[in-house]
Parts: sequence; structure tokens; C-alpha cells
Amino acid sequence: MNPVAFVIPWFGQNLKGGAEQLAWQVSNRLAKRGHKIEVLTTCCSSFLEDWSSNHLPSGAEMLDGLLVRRFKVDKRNGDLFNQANSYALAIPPENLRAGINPFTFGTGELFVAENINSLALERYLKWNKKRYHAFVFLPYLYGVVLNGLPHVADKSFLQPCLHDEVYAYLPEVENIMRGCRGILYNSLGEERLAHNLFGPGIDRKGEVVGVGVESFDLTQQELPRQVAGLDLAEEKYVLCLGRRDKTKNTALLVEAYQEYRKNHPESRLKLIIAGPGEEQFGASVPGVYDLGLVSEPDKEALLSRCTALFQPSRNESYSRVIMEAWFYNRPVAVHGECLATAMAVDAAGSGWLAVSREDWAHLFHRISSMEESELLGLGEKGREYARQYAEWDAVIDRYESVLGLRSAQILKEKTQHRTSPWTIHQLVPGFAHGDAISNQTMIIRDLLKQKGYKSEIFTEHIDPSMTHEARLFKDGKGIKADVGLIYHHSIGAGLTDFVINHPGPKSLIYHNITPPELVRDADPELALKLEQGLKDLNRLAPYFPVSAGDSRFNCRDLEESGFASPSVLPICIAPEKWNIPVDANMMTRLQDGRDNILFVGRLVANKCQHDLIDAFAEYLAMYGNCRLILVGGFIEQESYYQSLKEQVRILGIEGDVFFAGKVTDNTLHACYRCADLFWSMSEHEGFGVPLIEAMWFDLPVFAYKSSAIPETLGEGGLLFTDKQNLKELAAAARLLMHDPDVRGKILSGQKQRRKVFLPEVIRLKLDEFIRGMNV
Amino acid sequence: MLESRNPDIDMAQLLDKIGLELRLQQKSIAGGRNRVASEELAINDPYSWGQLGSTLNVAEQNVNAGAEVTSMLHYRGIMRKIARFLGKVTVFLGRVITIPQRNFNSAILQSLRITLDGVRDMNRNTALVERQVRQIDEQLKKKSALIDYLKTGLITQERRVSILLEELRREVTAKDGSQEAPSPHLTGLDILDPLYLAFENQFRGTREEIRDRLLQYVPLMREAGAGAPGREILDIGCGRGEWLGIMQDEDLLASGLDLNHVLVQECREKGLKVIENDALSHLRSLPENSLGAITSFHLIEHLSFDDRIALFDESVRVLKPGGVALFETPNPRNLLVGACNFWADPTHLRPLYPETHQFLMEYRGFCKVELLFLHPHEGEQRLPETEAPQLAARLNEILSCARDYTVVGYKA
Repeated sequence: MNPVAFVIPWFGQNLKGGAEQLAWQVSNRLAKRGHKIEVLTTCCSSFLEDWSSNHLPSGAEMLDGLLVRRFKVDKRNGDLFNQANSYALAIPPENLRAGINPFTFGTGELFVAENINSLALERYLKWNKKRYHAFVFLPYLYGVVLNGLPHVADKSFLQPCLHDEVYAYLPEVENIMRGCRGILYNSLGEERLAHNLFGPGIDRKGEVVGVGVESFDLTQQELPRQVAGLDLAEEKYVLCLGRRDKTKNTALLVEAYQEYRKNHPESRLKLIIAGPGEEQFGASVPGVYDLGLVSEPDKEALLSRCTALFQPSRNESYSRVIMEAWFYNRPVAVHGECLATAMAVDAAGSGWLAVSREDWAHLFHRISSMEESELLGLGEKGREYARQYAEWDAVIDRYESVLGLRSAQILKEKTQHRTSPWTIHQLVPGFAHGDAISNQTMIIRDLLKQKGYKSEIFTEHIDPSMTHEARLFKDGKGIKADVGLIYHHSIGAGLTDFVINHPGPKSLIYHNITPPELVRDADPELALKLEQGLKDLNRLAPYFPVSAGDSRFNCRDLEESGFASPSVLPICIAPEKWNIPVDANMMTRLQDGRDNILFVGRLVANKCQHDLIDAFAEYLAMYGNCRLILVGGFIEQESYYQSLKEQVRILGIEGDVFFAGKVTDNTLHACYRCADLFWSMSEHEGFGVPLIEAMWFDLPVFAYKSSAIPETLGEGGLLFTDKQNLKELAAAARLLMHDPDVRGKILSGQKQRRKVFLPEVIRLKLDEFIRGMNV
Repeated sequence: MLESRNPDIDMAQLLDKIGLELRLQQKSIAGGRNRVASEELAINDPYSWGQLGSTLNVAEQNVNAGAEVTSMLHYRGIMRKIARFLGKVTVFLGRVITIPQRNFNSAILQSLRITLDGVRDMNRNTALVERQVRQIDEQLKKKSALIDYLKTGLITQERRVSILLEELRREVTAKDGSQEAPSPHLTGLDILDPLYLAFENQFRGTREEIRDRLLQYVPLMREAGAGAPGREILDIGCGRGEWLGIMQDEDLLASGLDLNHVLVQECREKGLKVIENDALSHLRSLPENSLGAITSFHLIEHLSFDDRIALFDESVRVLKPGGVALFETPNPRNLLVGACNFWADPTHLRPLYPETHQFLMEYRGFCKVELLFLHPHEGEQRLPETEAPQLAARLNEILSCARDYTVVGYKA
């Protein structure tokens, strides 16, 4: 097999810095397992040196069984880079917003162009791409990675080592995150940060591989019993380990301890602080011992005998010390607002979260009254988690599987698809970019092709941008009499006669027709078309022994029209659709501190946007600081849109309701990203694609129980059966947005539910459906 | 009304939470408040001073536009050399424009920096001044409370001294064996009492008119807590008892005082509590801190300057802390009143200039002394301001303005 290359600006065993250490460890450990590993790096010796100097000779060398290729770095203008860098660093972190480039006035381009770059390395990547099995780029913010990755995007894995800092908002970073084939995260928190910054489009190509901690490799040595004059075996203490610093919140912990001792003066629980840092903490507080920097064995001893480890810092991207505590079966407490540590503790279930001083003080009390067996039980859960994510063996296993280095995977890739002479075409009334049904036809076509069928999509109306995906239907030209045909039925199709007369094997997929009586008042013309569509269904029934609907609800229509035993074939919804740039203007506009309530659907009376506006007005009166976004096409003259505008005007909430109209995917992406709640009052949805899309964006879905909605939502979202009590609805909406408990439970339900509509799941049903056609 | 198939959702608990949320909502009117907050949020510029500074840095980086050729990073090898050469030629030719442009850039940038520094300084100064003003304001409040306290103390001391002097004088006179001279108080017009009643009926206006005018003082009494048990109101020169009548109707405890025997009789017939005595001797007979309010309508213009001062002094003494005193009298600012109507009453001594009146009360120990101007001419009595508006307005100002005024003061 071809080698795997690690691409990193600097490489060496003794380099400081998380990414450099990681690259060294992972590449060496993979090489030791017998994989062919190469490292592509520059002649610059380290981060601390001048980035335009070539300290080391270029060319290939062997280093501990690794082939390291070094390339010369480009000349650069360091002053310009520093100017751009300090420009970005002057932006207060609280002003950073996802999807908005903080590097304005060309500073972003400067930052990338005058970064550490190597044209020689880029050229090598471009010309030797075929020689490699995969490339791992790390970390995210250097020119070598930003400019190098796009050359080999389809073979590249990015290990970003992402932090919530100004560089993460650089458009070039978004570019490589979207473009790469896979993303390797060090922690759950990092994965979540990437999701927050770039949306769900990258969710499914990411994998948390974890970072190994070396202490797991050591056999447990004899640890000292006494540290700084304290007999550890006799003492009961909480340990705070790491840099002692204001930014690490050490002072908060000392204050909390002081408060705890004030309320419980009899307590014997001590607080021991250790680690580097200038400042001295808690000198005047009895029970607090600040040991300063301690030796490695002392540190291990402290960890192994502590009651619990407290880590109050708010800005950690990966906390090694937590893993070490878990290694000794000790539970930990971390700051609830620190994404990386809080998520780890949450996932491991081995400890507690605290935010305020009172929380921490309460925690001191809580653990002082806990039994050792209880603490040990918690600690063991942590050890279990650490085994999985911090033991090098497990971590390297995961690298192997993500990078496709397992022998079983290699076999699978080589399997060839059988070919068959048969053809199955699809016929669909309209074909447009971003349309759920159009996407569905493409997925079906791809599946058919994969299974060896010839397959094309024919349509009556085509979006000009999509002509490469489908062909225009002209009196059956190109569709031979004996080929198989899948007909997608909805309204106003002039295809009915053709498909009835088609002699070959055929099947029908029904995508729902809105009941005409729901729209007759608002749009009599549309009602007539819908009626025609339903009548056509009756005519079609005898000719289609194989049929399917998007939902059970749709199948009812089919059965009523005389179709025999239709099956359910849900619409595929994958988050990869959103691996596209986001509309930056809209992101700026919507991230202004207000809550955003979203509904996506055409402006038609049966989707009941008027009810939603009423409910929203009630919410606004009760809570304020909120905006309603209505995404969906409308025509200026359309009376329903006009009546909605009038309703909003009368309610006096013109500034709070935003009619976005029919929008591009980039803008819809922005709406989903900035929204806090998806609220539907609709009385008719044949399936409800936006409900599932909202789930991918982690929006709680709050929907009126009607038509196919309960079926689509499944265990996700929250349904209501009564539209009248607006106050109660508003209060429930408030909880969905602002009550962490309610929101968390709803979102975890939705995380399960959305998987049901993934293409790989739907494919199994499609398979069965196609087999039923007997082509 | 809510449903979920999510097994983790405890529906009863969720409904409880919603109920709690609704109850909390009813208690607060957060909606309006929050909306204001959201507007404020929109006004706040997300990028602050630091951002402005670094934006200027970018301008500075580009101030020398057109002076040098860029590094042409997107070209490689020989292409890069050619590109740089062509770039140099362009730069050379472009100097005609770029040199003045660069001068302009630096000038503008320099000006912006100076302006920015100036604005920053100003902002800092404004903040400083604001803080100082707030401090001074607080100090003033404290000082004025102190002055009120000292004033009361001073008046008490003065009074004690004058009593001592009086006693001393009496003792000296007693030793001399001479007889005590009658004090020159309000002296009797007893014989003329019925005449004055007739005069009042003729000139002061009807009982109803007077009642209407007096009604507006009721809130003042209530605010000062006067008229409650232990905080009785004393009306000096109660005349026909219109004001006493009002207070009786309002359930305020009040008594009147008048010298005119006939008027006193009339009031008593109406069931009002009236004492026949002269003001100063009655007040001197009362203990300190014993009254809630002292009122007097159209009396002080009958008194000499000395008596007036004595009246204020005694009032301060007998009032309880927080008690109120008000004295209504004709307003000489109204030319008609000052020049003519005032003299309709033959017993009037002289008109009282409002600010002098206020000044005297303040300096004799009252606090929060205020002037209220009352009873201007209205409607047809005013000159129409249609034909010669400025002249009419000026005349109205001196002829139709308030006909009476009241000085209100409180005991600290």
C-alpha cells in the first residue's frame, strides 16, 4: 500500500507545541505498527525561528524509521504578517461571530500569503499525490496547511487542533475544513467547536481520535508518600493541578474553598494547588497549600491520592491532567462553561460541572461527605473513558481505521461492482437545485448506477444550473419501451398519459399533494391543479403494482386512490448538503444578540404562517428580544403574503418579523445556523424536510401535530395539539430555547431521529423497492 | 396539549415548568423592558475603540500605495521576475499620480490620528467631569440638609436669648417699681368689628368663591400630615371660617383664631372651633412642637414688620418637625393689585414683595420655602392676543397675572 504522509510546518522530537508533539507521537507509533509513514515538512527548524530561514538541509532523511522530506520555505515579509496578525488580535474575542470574517481590509490575504509557506512543498504535493494513500495535515493555521491541502483535497485528512480564537474565523480555514476528506479531532469539545463554527456540513466527516497520554505507557512506579511535608496517605484533599494563573481561574477556586470553610469550619478537607506560575494563591487561607511547581513523581503521587481533581479553568482546549486523574481512578470537577473539559466530563460521566463560586463551594461540601467507594466508582468510569480516548493503543487504532489502514478496509475498497445490461430511468415533473425531491432522484440514480444499472433522470421543467444532472423530457425521446421506469408523482404533470402507456416495468413514488380544500380560498387556481393531481392518481393506480410514498401519511392517499400495498420510502436528508459557505451578510444581520425563531416553508395558508405570527407576537410581548424568520417563496401579489404583512403591521411588530423570501442555500444555511428554535404551526406537511434539516442544525423543533409531522419527527422535537393557548405555547418555546435541561433532552432525541433519514439507511429500503420492480 | 415520543422527556415535569414560567411572567412586565434592551443592543457598535485604532493601522500600512512593487507571490520563477520588472515600470510611470496621492494619504491619516486622540481625550474628560458633577451634587445635598438643621438650631437659640433678655428687662423694671407697659401687639379695632365684617362681605368675594380658591390647599395639608390627631392645624385670622369649614368637611383637625368678635361669633355658630385672641399672644401661649400646620390668608399684610417677624419665629417654634406654614397675601406684581386693589382695604398696611417675604421666612428658620402664584385673570378678563399680540401679552403679564401669592415653608 502507498504511504501516508503527515504534513506539518515543523517536525522534530523535541519541538514544543501540542501539534508538533502530536505529529511526532502519531507518526512514530503508526510507523512502529508497520505502516509506511512519511513526513512532509519544511527546512525551518521550529516555530520560534525565523519562518523564512532554511536552517536544515532540504531533501529526504530517515529519522527513527520515518522518512522525513524537508522543503525550502519561501521568502516572506514578516512585518506585513505581524501587522495583519496584530490587527486580528486587537479584535475583542466577544466580537467574533461564526461565519463572519474578522480579517477585513485584505489582512486575511496578507496573513496567509506572508505566513510560513513552501512552494516547493506545494509543488511536491501536486505532482506526487498519486504516490500516497492519504495525507494528514496539522495544525490548521499555517500557510503550509492552508495552501497545501487544497492540492490534495480528496486524499487529505485535517487534524486542525482547533481553538476558539480569531484565526479560526479566517475564511481560508473554513475552506480547508470544507474541502478536506476527513477531519480528525482531539476531543469532543473541539468537534463541537468546529460544528459551531462551520455548521453540520462537516459533521459526518469528523472523527474524535483522542490524544494519548504517556503516563499510560509507564508501569506504575513507587510513588512518594510525602510531598512538601504533607503525609498524603493521612490527608484528605482536593487537588488543583496546572498553571496557577488568573486566566486559569485559580483565584475563584480559592475563594470558593474559603466560603466552604466558613460554612463548615470543622471540615478536614484541604485544597492543594500545584503547577507553574508566578503568583502565590491562598497564602492567608487556612487549609490551602500552594506548592508551586512540583516534580513529576510528586505530581503523580498527588494525583493518585487526591479525593478529586478540580479544574476551574474556562479556556482549556484539551486537558491532559484530567485524563491523568482518571488514570488513577479519581473523579474530576471542571468549569461548566469550558467546552472541551465539560464535554469530556459529561461524556465520561466521571465528575461534576460547576460555574459560580457557590457551585464550587457546594462541590467541596459534596465530595467531603462522599464515601471513598462512591468516589472510586466515579473515577473508574473516568478510567474507562481515558482508556478509550487517552491510551495510545486505542488512539492509534482509531487513526488506522479513519485513514483506511486496516487490512479489511483495503479489501472492501477493491471489490468491483457487477455490471448489468438493464436500464431504469426516472421521470420527475420538476428538477431544481436544492429541491428535496430532486436530491432524492439523484440518490436513487447513484444507487442504481452503483448496482450496475444504466440510469438517467428525465424531467419536464429543469433549473438551468442543473442541466448536467438531468435531461429534458420530450415525448418520451430517449426512453425505450422495455426499460424500467420510476415515476415521481406530484401535481400538474403532463406525464400521466405517457407513463400509463409505458409498456416496461414501472413503479410510482408519490410526494404528496396538498388537499385542495386547504388552499381554495387563498388560491383557487392552485386548488384546481391539486384536484387534477389527485384525479390523475386514481387513473394511475391500476397500472402501478409497485408504489411508495414519502411517509405513512402519504401512503394513505395512495391506498385511497386504489394502489395496492404501497411502501414507505422516506426522503434522504444528509447534512453534507450544508458543506457550503454561509451567507456572511445574513450571519452578521442575524447574530445581533436577539433570539431567532425560524420557520421554513412556502408562504401558503395551509402552512399557517399567520398562526405563527400571532404566537410569535405573544412570545415577544412576554419575553422580548426575539425575531421571527419566515423563509419561503412568495410572489408580491400573492394575497396571503399581503395579508401576513398587514397582520404584522397591525400587531406593530414589523421590525421583529423578517420575511426572507425564497433564498439560496447559502442564505438558508445562515438562517438555520443563527436560529434558536424551529417553530411550525403548519396544518399540512406531506413529509416536512425542514424539520429534519433543523435537527441537523441542532435546533429544537416545536411543531403543531398535523398530517405527516408526528411521523417525521418520531422521538425528536416537541409536538403540541392545541393552537389556542398562545401564552402556554410561548412559555414552552421559551423553555425550548433557554432551559438547558429541556433543550438538551430534545436535542439528544433529535440526534437519534435524524439518522433515520441518512442516505445509507434509506438505501436499504430503496434496494428493496427496486427489487420489487423485477427489472 | 404537549406531546413527545422522546422517552427522556417527563411530560408532567415539563408542564410544571411551563406553569412556573407563566406565573413568573405574570409577576413581571419583562416584555417591555426587554424590548428596550434589544434596541439598545442594536445601537451598540460591535467594534469599539481598539478596533478603530487597528483599522487606522491598516490605513497606515497602505499609506505608501504605489511606492513599491508587491512581491508577486502568485507568480513563480521567471514569471515572477518579469512581473516584478513590469510592476516597477508601472510604478515609475504612475509616480505622477502616486506621489501627490501618498502626500494626501499621509496628511489625511495624520489628521485622523489627531482627531481620534482628541476625541478620546474629550471622552475621557467628559467622563471625569461627569463623575465630578455627581460628587458635587451629592456633597451639595448633604450640605443643604446640614444648613436646614443649623438654621433650626440657631432660631431656637435666638429665641431663648430674647426670652432671657425680656425676663431680665422685666426684673430690672420690677426693681425700678415702674408698671409694665402694654406690649404693642395687634391692637384692637373692636369697635369697628361689625364694620369690617360688612366690608369683607362687600369686597372679598362671596363665600363660595373663597371656598373654591381654598380647596387647593387641602393636598398640602395632607402631604405634611397635618390635621391628624396631635398635628392640629391653626388658621390665624380665620375670618368668616371658609377654610375651617373645608377642613371640617375633609375631617382634618383644625381650629381658628381671630380678633374680630363678630366674626368669631359667626364661626362658632357654624360649629367651628375658634379662639378669640390676637395671633402672637396665642402662639406664645402654645408649647413648642405642638402644631401640624399654620395657615393664614390675607392676614400678614395687616401686620407691622416686627410683628410679622415675630409671627414667623413663633410659627417655627410651635410647629412640629415636618409641619407646614402658609401665608397668602395679595400679589403686588400684578400692577392692578399693587397700585389699586390692595388699598381697597383700609386696614392693609403695605403690599409685601414676594421674594422678600420668601427671604424673610427662610432666614427666620423655615426650610424648602416656596412661592405659589395664584388666581390670575382668565378668559374675557385678559386682553385678546390677536391684534397686537406682543403688546397684549406684555400687558396681560402685568395686569392679568396672579392676583395673590402664597409662601409655603416647612419646619425641618
